[in-house]
Amino acid sequence: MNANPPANPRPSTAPALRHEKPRWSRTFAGVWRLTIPRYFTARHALVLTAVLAGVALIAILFLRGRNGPANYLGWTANFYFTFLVPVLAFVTGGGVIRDEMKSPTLDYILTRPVPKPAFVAFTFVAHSLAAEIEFLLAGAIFVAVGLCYRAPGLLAAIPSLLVAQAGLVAGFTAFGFLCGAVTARYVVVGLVYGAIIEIGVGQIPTELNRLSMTHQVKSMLQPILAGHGSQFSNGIELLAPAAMLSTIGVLLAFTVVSVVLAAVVYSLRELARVNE
Amino acid sequence: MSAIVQAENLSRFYGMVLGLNNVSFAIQPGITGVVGPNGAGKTTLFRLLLGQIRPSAGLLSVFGSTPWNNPAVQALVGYCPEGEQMPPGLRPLDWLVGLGLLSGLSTAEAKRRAQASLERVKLAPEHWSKRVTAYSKGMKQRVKLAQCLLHEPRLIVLDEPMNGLDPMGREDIASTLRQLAADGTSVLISSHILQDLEALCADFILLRWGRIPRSLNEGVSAETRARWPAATTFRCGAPAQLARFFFDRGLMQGCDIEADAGTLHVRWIDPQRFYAEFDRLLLESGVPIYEVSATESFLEKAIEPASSP
Repeated sequence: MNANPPANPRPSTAPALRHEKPRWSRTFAGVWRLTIPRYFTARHALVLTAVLAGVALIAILFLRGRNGPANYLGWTANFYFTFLVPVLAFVTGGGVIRDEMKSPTLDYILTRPVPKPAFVAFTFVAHSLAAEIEFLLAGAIFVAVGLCYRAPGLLAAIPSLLVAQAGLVAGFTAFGFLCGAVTARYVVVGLVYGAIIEIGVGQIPTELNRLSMTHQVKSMLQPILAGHGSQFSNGIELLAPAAMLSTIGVLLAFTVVSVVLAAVVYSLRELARVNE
Repeated sequence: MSAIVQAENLSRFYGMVLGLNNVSFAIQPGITGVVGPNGAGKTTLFRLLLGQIRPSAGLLSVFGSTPWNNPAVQALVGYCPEGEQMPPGLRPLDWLVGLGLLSGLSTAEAKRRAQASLERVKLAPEHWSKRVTAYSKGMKQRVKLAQCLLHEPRLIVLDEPMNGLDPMGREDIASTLRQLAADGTSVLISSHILQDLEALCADFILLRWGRIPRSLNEGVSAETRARWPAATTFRCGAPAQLARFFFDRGLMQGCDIEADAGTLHVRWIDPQRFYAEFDRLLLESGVPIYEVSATESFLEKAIEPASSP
């Protein structure tokens, strides 16, 4: 019978608040440990295998076409490295940040003493590293299939293609983070951005086209494409080696600005309301 | 005694939808129950305390600071949510170590505390190698409680922690919470299992339609709970004989007899008169008594108007 209140010993004072300095290395280690296992689930492995199989199929279909091997390097640079990679990086980046706005992140991570901007930045780093590895696999398949069909110039182009892929994955993952942090309809925002900036502004033959990240990368790859007389090399101006570094710098700046803005938006939003 | 949570004229609206409406309260150290029907504002209150949403109006302080986006407050608070969504691909130790690192613990300390927390909530070690997404409901409740104990918070917020647990599991959780309270950790707990809350909590906050009605909360005040129950249920050998015995002594206002179940529900004229010498009275009645319990819990009685049409 509960006639009397239960015996419940009570401390006489509430503890004082301590403002401790964040330990960034531990926070990053925590984010890393909680992020990376997601890439080793059966579901993720299945999706990755399907994507890689799709990539191989697309490459084989192109190579079997007329002049396929001769045009393969240019086509790879245009289709895979400056279209497929940005699109996939953007979509997965947006998906990751949307997932981080739901339970269990909301309930178990954001209730801990982790500054939200740091959480976004560390999640971006962890996800980007995992994504870079997965895109390396996809890139390796493109190269391997091309080598099987004796596509010319492929081996010599590998270093440039890898640099381009790394920059695009980081940049468009970060942009996906930003759009995903802003809205659940980040794919629509991405399509609008792609149509206006990457396709529209990127085709304007003035300095304005440098706003397009894919145009920057195409320009960077232009010397290797031109050397092989690719049909895809027309209409793109050549860049000096110094300008290549500037392209990498622009991609890096695009990445940093996107991540910083994503972190700001993520911090200011009431994430608990996102799921209502 | 200083309050760990204080709210003054606190309101939270979701557009036109009301979450909390101009509530003022203080939560003292110890175990406090939050009770109310669905939609009463319990989750909104918890989200405000955890700093996940901002108040629309009024003031809220947790350990003397506003909780919104405040890691210093979050370092002192642990949260066990109601939902059962768990992170994919993780085993409990990996998950807890990751969360421990986020709470600022070193890897070695996080591992040590993760093991200690899992042992404390009595999650058997043979289940530690399974992925948390594959856990049963009861096991998920235990590992959820373990993660919120990990960084040794000073306030634990538990949203329906007894859901899906069998009576033994509920008692395990209750004894863990009592031990935490004895060690100086405050607990804020919501549950639809009112008997558990009554047995566990020293204080209550009763919510209804986003408010804390004074009349309801007076019904669960320490003073009210110190009074004897107005009605008592006896499981006994001869309920009719026991009813006549109480009636003859002018103790009974009314009664219900369930002869088949051997149960007598008595409403007292003055409960104090019965409870002052209940042992002598029951012996004197000569009726074999098997069980004596309060007919209705004070929490059920207090929230009764809320559930009535």
